[in-house]
Amino acid sequence: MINLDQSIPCPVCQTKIPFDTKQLLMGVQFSCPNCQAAIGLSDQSKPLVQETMEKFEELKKNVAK
Amino acid sequence: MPESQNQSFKPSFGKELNIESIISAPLVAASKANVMMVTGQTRFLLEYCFTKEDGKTYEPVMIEMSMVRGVIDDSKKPTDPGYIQKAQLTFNIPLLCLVPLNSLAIDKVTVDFDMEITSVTSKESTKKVGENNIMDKKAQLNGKISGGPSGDKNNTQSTSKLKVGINAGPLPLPVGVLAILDLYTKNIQPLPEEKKPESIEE
Repeated sequence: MINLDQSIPCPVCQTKIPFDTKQLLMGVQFSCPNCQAAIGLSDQSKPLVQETMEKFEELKKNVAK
Repeated sequence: MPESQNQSFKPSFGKELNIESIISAPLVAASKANVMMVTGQTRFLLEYCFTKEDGKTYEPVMIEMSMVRGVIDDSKKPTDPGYIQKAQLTFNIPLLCLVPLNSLAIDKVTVDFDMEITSVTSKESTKKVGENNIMDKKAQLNGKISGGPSGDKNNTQSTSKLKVGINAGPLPLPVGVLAILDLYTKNIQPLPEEKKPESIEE
Protein backbone atom coordinates (compact mmCIF):
# COMPACT_ATOMS: atom_id res chain seq x y z
CA MET A 1 0.00 0.00 0.00
CA ILE A 2 2.63 2.45 -0.99
CA ASN A 3 0.59 4.78 -3.07
CA LEU A 4 -2.15 6.18 -0.89
CA ASP A 5 0.07 8.05 1.54
CA GLN A 6 3.01 8.35 -0.88
CA SER A 7 5.51 6.21 0.94
CA ILE A 8 7.54 3.16 0.07
CA PRO A 9 8.94 0.52 2.38
CA CYS A 10 12.65 0.83 3.09
CA PRO A 11 14.50 -1.97 1.25
CA VAL A 12 16.65 -2.47 4.35
CA CYS A 13 14.28 -2.39 7.35
CA GLN A 14 10.80 -2.13 5.77
CA THR A 15 9.97 1.08 7.66
CA LYS A 16 7.79 3.35 5.53
CA ILE A 17 9.71 6.17 3.89
CA PRO A 18 7.39 9.09 3.05
CA PHE A 19 8.21 10.88 -0.19
CA ASP A 20 6.92 13.48 -2.61
CA THR A 21 7.18 12.67 -6.30
CA LYS A 22 7.74 16.29 -7.37
CA GLN A 23 10.65 16.59 -4.94
CA LEU A 24 12.06 13.26 -6.10
CA LEU A 25 12.10 14.70 -9.61
CA MET A 26 14.06 17.68 -8.34
CA GLY A 27 16.70 15.29 -7.02
CA VAL A 28 15.72 15.30 -3.35
CA GLN A 29 16.54 12.13 -1.43
CA PHE A 30 14.30 10.85 1.34
CA SER A 31 15.71 9.14 4.40
CA CYS A 32 14.35 6.17 6.26
CA PRO A 33 13.33 7.33 9.76
CA ASN A 34 14.67 4.10 11.22
CA CYS A 35 17.95 3.17 9.48
CA GLN A 36 18.72 6.50 7.74
CA ALA A 37 19.09 4.86 4.33
CA ALA A 38 18.43 7.50 1.68
CA ILE A 39 16.37 6.77 -1.41
CA GLY A 40 16.23 8.83 -4.59
CA LEU A 41 15.16 8.58 -8.17
CA SER A 42 17.77 7.36 -10.65
CA ASP A 43 18.71 9.86 -13.33
CA GLN A 44 17.73 7.47 -16.10
CA SER A 45 14.16 7.18 -14.77
CA LYS A 46 13.58 10.91 -14.31
CA PRO A 47 12.36 11.69 -17.87
CA LEU A 48 9.78 8.91 -17.75
CA VAL A 49 8.45 9.95 -14.33
CA GLN A 50 8.46 13.62 -15.39
CA GLU A 51 6.44 12.85 -18.50
CA THR A 52 3.96 10.69 -16.56
CA MET A 53 3.43 13.35 -13.91
CA GLU A 54 2.86 16.00 -16.60
CA LYS A 55 0.25 13.79 -18.24
CA PHE A 56 -1.37 13.21 -14.85
CA GLU A 57 -1.58 16.95 -14.17
CA GLU A 58 -3.04 17.42 -17.64
CA LEU A 59 -5.68 14.80 -16.88
CA LYS A 60 -6.59 16.58 -13.64
CA LYS A 61 -6.95 19.88 -15.50
CA ASN A 62 -9.12 18.30 -18.19
CA VAL A 63 -11.40 16.75 -15.60
CA ALA A 64 -11.75 20.06 -13.80
CA LYS A 65 -12.92 21.81 -16.99
CA MET B 1 -25.65 18.90 -21.92
CA PRO B 2 -25.08 19.19 -25.66
CA GLU B 3 -28.56 20.61 -26.25
CA SER B 4 -27.95 23.62 -24.10
CA GLN B 5 -24.63 24.56 -25.65
CA ASN B 6 -26.14 27.23 -27.87
CA GLN B 7 -28.93 28.23 -25.55
CA SER B 8 -28.88 29.90 -22.19
CA PHE B 9 -29.83 27.50 -19.43
CA LYS B 10 -32.82 28.66 -17.42
CA PRO B 11 -33.43 26.56 -14.34
CA SER B 12 -37.07 26.30 -13.42
CA PHE B 13 -36.84 26.48 -9.66
CA GLY B 14 -40.49 27.40 -9.32
CA LYS B 15 -41.65 24.11 -10.79
CA GLU B 16 -43.16 21.59 -8.43
CA LEU B 17 -41.21 18.34 -8.17
CA ASN B 18 -41.30 15.41 -5.84
CA ILE B 19 -38.92 15.64 -2.92
CA GLU B 20 -36.84 12.64 -4.05
CA SER B 21 -36.02 14.28 -7.38
CA ILE B 22 -34.92 17.53 -5.74
CA ILE B 23 -32.60 15.75 -3.33
CA SER B 24 -31.26 13.14 -5.73
CA ALA B 25 -30.45 15.42 -8.69
CA PRO B 26 -27.25 16.94 -7.21
CA LEU B 27 -26.20 13.52 -5.86
CA VAL B 28 -26.61 11.88 -9.25
CA ALA B 29 -24.63 14.72 -10.86
CA ALA B 30 -21.83 14.27 -8.31
CA SER B 31 -21.84 10.53 -8.85
CA LYS B 32 -21.56 11.00 -12.63
CA ALA B 33 -18.67 13.41 -12.11
CA ASN B 34 -16.95 10.81 -9.94
CA VAL B 35 -17.40 8.15 -12.61
CA MET B 36 -15.89 10.50 -15.20
CA MET B 37 -12.86 11.12 -13.02
CA VAL B 38 -12.32 7.46 -12.12
CA THR B 39 -12.68 6.40 -15.76
CA GLY B 40 -10.14 8.99 -16.84
CA GLN B 41 -7.78 7.88 -14.14
CA THR B 42 -8.11 4.20 -15.07
CA ARG B 43 -7.40 4.98 -18.72
CA PHE B 44 -4.36 6.98 -17.66
CA LEU B 45 -3.20 4.10 -15.49
CA LEU B 46 -3.44 1.55 -18.28
CA GLU B 47 -1.88 3.85 -20.87
CA TYR B 48 1.11 5.20 -18.96
CA CYS B 49 1.75 2.88 -16.03
CA PHE B 50 1.36 -0.43 -17.85
CA THR B 51 2.55 -1.91 -21.10
CA LYS B 52 0.54 -4.49 -22.95
CA GLU B 53 2.55 -7.56 -23.70
CA ASP B 54 1.36 -9.79 -26.57
CA GLY B 55 -1.79 -7.69 -26.78
CA LYS B 56 -3.19 -9.53 -23.78
CA THR B 57 -1.24 -9.16 -20.57
CA TYR B 58 -0.62 -5.85 -18.87
CA GLU B 59 2.78 -5.46 -17.28
CA PRO B 60 3.66 -2.53 -15.03
CA VAL B 61 6.25 -0.03 -16.21
CA MET B 62 9.17 -0.20 -13.80
CA ILE B 63 11.42 2.66 -12.81
CA GLU B 64 14.80 2.58 -11.12
CA MET B 65 15.49 4.08 -7.73
CA SER B 66 18.78 4.32 -5.91
CA MET B 67 19.53 3.92 -2.25
CA VAL B 68 22.54 5.17 -0.33
CA ARG B 69 23.38 3.68 3.03
CA GLY B 70 26.30 3.88 5.44
CA VAL B 71 28.12 0.60 5.94
CA ILE B 72 30.61 0.03 8.76
CA ASP B 73 33.93 -1.46 7.77
CA ASP B 74 34.71 -3.95 10.53
CA SER B 75 38.35 -4.17 9.57
CA LYS B 76 38.92 -0.55 10.61
CA LYS B 77 38.76 1.26 13.91
CA PRO B 78 35.99 3.84 14.52
CA THR B 79 38.59 6.62 14.45
CA ASP B 80 40.06 5.52 11.11
CA PRO B 81 39.05 7.35 7.95
CA GLY B 82 36.69 5.26 5.86
CA TYR B 83 35.28 3.43 8.88
CA ILE B 84 31.79 4.24 7.57
CA GLN B 85 31.53 3.82 3.83
CA LYS B 86 28.64 4.72 1.58
CA ALA B 87 27.08 1.77 -0.19
CA GLN B 88 24.79 2.44 -3.13
CA LEU B 89 22.30 0.01 -4.56
CA THR B 90 19.50 0.28 -7.08
CA PHE B 91 16.07 -1.27 -7.00
CA ASN B 92 13.05 -1.20 -9.27
CA ILE B 93 9.53 -0.21 -8.34
CA PRO B 94 6.45 0.19 -10.51
CA LEU B 95 5.85 3.68 -11.89
CA LEU B 96 2.35 3.28 -10.48
CA CYS B 97 3.80 3.75 -6.99
CA LEU B 98 4.90 7.32 -7.69
CA VAL B 99 1.64 8.61 -9.16
CA PRO B 100 -0.68 10.08 -6.52
CA LEU B 101 -3.70 8.12 -7.66
CA ASN B 102 -7.22 8.63 -6.37
CA SER B 103 -6.55 12.23 -5.54
CA LEU B 104 -9.40 13.06 -7.88
CA ALA B 105 -12.34 11.40 -6.21
CA ILE B 106 -15.28 13.27 -4.73
CA ASP B 107 -15.67 12.20 -1.12
CA LYS B 108 -18.20 14.71 0.21
CA VAL B 109 -21.23 16.40 -1.30
CA THR B 110 -23.22 19.01 0.61
CA VAL B 111 -26.59 20.04 -0.72
CA ASP B 112 -28.09 23.10 0.89
CA PHE B 113 -31.51 24.45 -0.05
CA ASP B 114 -34.75 25.64 1.47
CA MET B 115 -37.81 23.78 0.41
CA GLU B 116 -41.47 24.52 0.37
CA ILE B 117 -43.89 21.59 0.50
CA THR B 118 -46.62 22.48 -1.96
CA SER B 119 -48.70 19.34 -2.03
CA VAL B 120 -48.97 15.88 -0.54
CA THR B 121 -50.26 12.98 -2.54
CA SER B 122 -50.57 9.35 -1.60
CA LYS B 123 -49.66 6.20 -3.39
CA GLU B 124 -51.33 2.92 -2.67
CA SER B 125 -49.59 -0.42 -2.88
CA THR B 126 -50.71 -3.92 -1.97
CA LYS B 127 -48.44 -6.55 -0.51
CA LYS B 128 -49.29 -10.18 -0.01
CA VAL B 129 -48.04 -11.52 3.31
CA GLY B 130 -49.00 -15.15 3.70
CA GLU B 131 -52.69 -15.41 2.85
CA ASN B 132 -53.47 -11.81 3.71
CA ASN B 133 -53.26 -8.82 1.46
CA ILE B 134 -51.83 -5.80 3.19
CA MET B 135 -52.65 -2.45 1.74
CA ASP B 136 -50.03 0.20 2.13
CA LYS B 137 -50.49 3.89 1.59
CA LYS B 138 -47.33 5.90 1.08
CA ALA B 139 -47.20 9.64 1.26
CA GLN B 140 -45.59 11.46 -1.63
CA LEU B 141 -44.35 14.92 -0.84
CA ASN B 142 -44.13 17.44 -3.63
CA GLY B 143 -42.47 20.75 -3.31
CA LYS B 144 -40.32 23.41 -4.84
CA ILE B 145 -37.13 25.09 -3.86
CA SER B 146 -38.24 28.12 -1.94
CA GLY B 147 -36.91 31.53 -2.69
CA GLY B 148 -35.37 34.04 -0.40
CA PRO B 149 -35.77 37.79 -0.70
CA SER B 150 -33.42 39.35 -3.19
CA GLY B 151 -31.11 42.15 -2.11
CA ASP B 152 -32.62 44.67 -4.52
CA LYS B 153 -35.53 46.57 -2.94
CA ASN B 154 -37.02 47.54 -6.31
CA ASN B 155 -37.01 43.97 -7.45
CA THR B 156 -39.90 42.12 -5.87
CA GLN B 157 -38.95 38.82 -7.46
CA SER B 158 -37.43 36.28 -5.14
CA THR B 159 -34.42 34.18 -6.02
CA SER B 160 -34.37 30.48 -5.41
CA LYS B 161 -31.48 29.00 -3.48
CA LEU B 162 -29.81 25.71 -4.22
CA LYS B 163 -26.23 25.46 -3.02
CA VAL B 164 -24.20 22.36 -3.79
CA GLY B 165 -20.81 22.01 -2.14
CA ILE B 166 -18.42 19.37 -3.44
CA ASN B 167 -15.25 18.33 -1.71
CA ALA B 168 -12.73 16.12 -3.46
CA GLY B 169 -10.26 14.17 -1.41
CA PRO B 170 -8.17 11.02 -1.44
CA LEU B 171 -10.13 7.82 -1.23
CA PRO B 172 -8.73 4.33 -0.65
CA LEU B 173 -7.42 2.62 -3.74
CA PRO B 174 -9.33 -0.30 -5.22
CA VAL B 175 -8.36 -3.69 -3.77
CA GLY B 176 -6.98 -4.89 -7.11
CA VAL B 177 -4.55 -1.97 -7.41
CA LEU B 178 -3.50 -2.41 -3.78
CA ALA B 179 -2.76 -6.08 -4.43
CA ILE B 180 -0.50 -5.16 -7.38
CA LEU B 181 1.31 -2.56 -5.27
CA ASP B 182 1.74 -4.99 -2.38
CA LEU B 183 3.19 -7.67 -4.63
CA TYR B 184 5.73 -5.33 -6.14
CA THR B 185 6.73 -3.68 -2.90
CA LYS B 186 7.42 -7.09 -1.42
CA ASN B 187 9.85 -7.57 -4.30
CA ILE B 188 11.84 -4.59 -3.05
CA GLN B 189 12.74 -6.50 0.09
CA PRO B 190 16.12 -8.19 -0.25
CA LEU B 191 16.07 -11.93 0.13
CA PRO B 192 18.65 -13.70 2.31
CA GLU B 193 21.25 -15.57 0.37
CA GLU B 194 20.60 -19.27 0.36
CA LYS B 195 23.03 -21.10 2.60
CA LYS B 196 25.09 -23.78 0.95
CA PRO B 197 24.89 -27.11 2.69
CA GLU B 198 27.97 -27.59 4.81
CA SER B 199 30.24 -30.37 3.74
CA ILE B 200 30.35 -33.18 6.22
CA GLU B 201 33.80 -34.01 7.28
CA GLU B 202 34.35 -37.63 7.88
